[in-house]
Amino acid sequence: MLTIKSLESGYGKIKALFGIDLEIKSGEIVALIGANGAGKTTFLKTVSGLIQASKGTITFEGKRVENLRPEQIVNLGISHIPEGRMIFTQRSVETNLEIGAFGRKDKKEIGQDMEKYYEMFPILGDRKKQKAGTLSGGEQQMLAIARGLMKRPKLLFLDEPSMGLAPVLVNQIFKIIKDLHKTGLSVLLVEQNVKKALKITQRAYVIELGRIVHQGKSSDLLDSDEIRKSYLGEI
Amino acid sequence: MFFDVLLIGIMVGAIYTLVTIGYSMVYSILKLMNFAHGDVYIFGTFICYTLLEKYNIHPLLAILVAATLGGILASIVEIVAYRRLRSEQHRMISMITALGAAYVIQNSNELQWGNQVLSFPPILNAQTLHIFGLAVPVTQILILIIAVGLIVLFTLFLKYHPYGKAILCVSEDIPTASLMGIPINKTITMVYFIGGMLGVVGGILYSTSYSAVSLAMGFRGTIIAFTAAVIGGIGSLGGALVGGMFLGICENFIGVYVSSSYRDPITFLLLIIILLVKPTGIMGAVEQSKV
Repeated sequence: MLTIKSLESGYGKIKALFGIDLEIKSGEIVALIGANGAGKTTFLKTVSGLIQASKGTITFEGKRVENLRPEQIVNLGISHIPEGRMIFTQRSVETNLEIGAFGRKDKKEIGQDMEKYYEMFPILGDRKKQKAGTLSGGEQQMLAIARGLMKRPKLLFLDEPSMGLAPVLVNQIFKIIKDLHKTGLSVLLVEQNVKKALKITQRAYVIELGRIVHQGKSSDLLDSDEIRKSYLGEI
Repeated sequence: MFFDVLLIGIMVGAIYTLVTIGYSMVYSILKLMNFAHGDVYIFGTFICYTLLEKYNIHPLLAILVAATLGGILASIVEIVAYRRLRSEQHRMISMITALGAAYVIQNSNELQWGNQVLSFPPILNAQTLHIFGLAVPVTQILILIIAVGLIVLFTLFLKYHPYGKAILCVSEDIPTASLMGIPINKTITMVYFIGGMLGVVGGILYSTSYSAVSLAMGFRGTIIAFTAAVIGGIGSLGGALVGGMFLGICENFIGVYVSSSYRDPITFLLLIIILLVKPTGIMGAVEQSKV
């Protein structure tokens, strides 16, 4: 579904990714883990077009996308839910969802999708007329996820969805991600909560200083001494 | 007397609001002082003047053509002078090209129409009706209706049209808006186009109510838009309305009850006082920085 070969990018003259290879098959849920500053967010931003790739190729469903703009990439079916949720705080919950469906013409089905997410996240339904900025962190994350789904993506990028949330909410968000994957959605999950991320994903990549240093089945990585030592603080 | 001055003040205020909307919207999205705004609006007003004087075209058609050309000019300025320089880190650069664009348009206007005050034809019915002994100035009321109508129309567009909502989201957060599939360049050009159009209509209404158009009104237009936007709270539609009305009403009362030569000094003194008391403008909220 998504194939990335020797991808390089960065900010101006500062390089942040040094030749990343990564693949996601249709229906897969994959984790990308690594420390702060390892290049996880840069990687997602490069694939979704927010940062221009300086080298390498990105192929989505047989189509080269590395030179497309973000609005073109999302329309192909990759929804990127950014770090820090980035909901439109001055707009209502409802408008946030509507804007998530920007460009879709099937008005009736947009309405049905919105109802679906109000059902899935009742708190959003209760507060649909409120400014999104008045929601709590967990609610904002749910809104960000629902907004990203309004495009009916085939592949979902989640950047640190559990960041800054209370433990009970973290569990809830991870359950939501797991459920979404069960509906057939392909997912790339970027997380600092390594243990939980490895538990709900099938495969994982470990990124260090802009390079992939490990990859494999998530369950194998969970058992690997090196991962447990560097990322789980065990041993 | 008082009510006449107030009515004319409100009318001028509504016109100023039209001129301010484009300026303020551009600022809210790009944090760019669009110095060319006033020169675009006077360009459109001159076009309307020529169409009416030289070609005797129906006023409504003339306004439409002039506003469209003004919108196109504003979009060209955006595409040529601002788009490539759009960057968070280097806002000063586009500020300078904005000044450059302003001078290019201003001097082109001067080549075509000179720098004298030209007499602008009356395009709306100039009679005064008498109802129950009250003199009702029809022209002023018509102008007010047109201006307020356009402000309401634009507000509804922002609130209900998908592209209106897109404009609001782009003004809040450009990268995230692009992740939603909103075409950023197209949306920004649209803001310039609409802002230019509304500005030109404002310019035409102003010129017809004072029966005059001149090159100098272009620069004054930029200053008015800037002042009204800052007084009301830059970046918001409500702010443009409050600021525009404030300026229009103040100016007229000062002009009539004090002296027209003190109009600008006192108005700007009020600007300073308001900013000292509330730096974000009357309607302005404290800008929250995003982490």
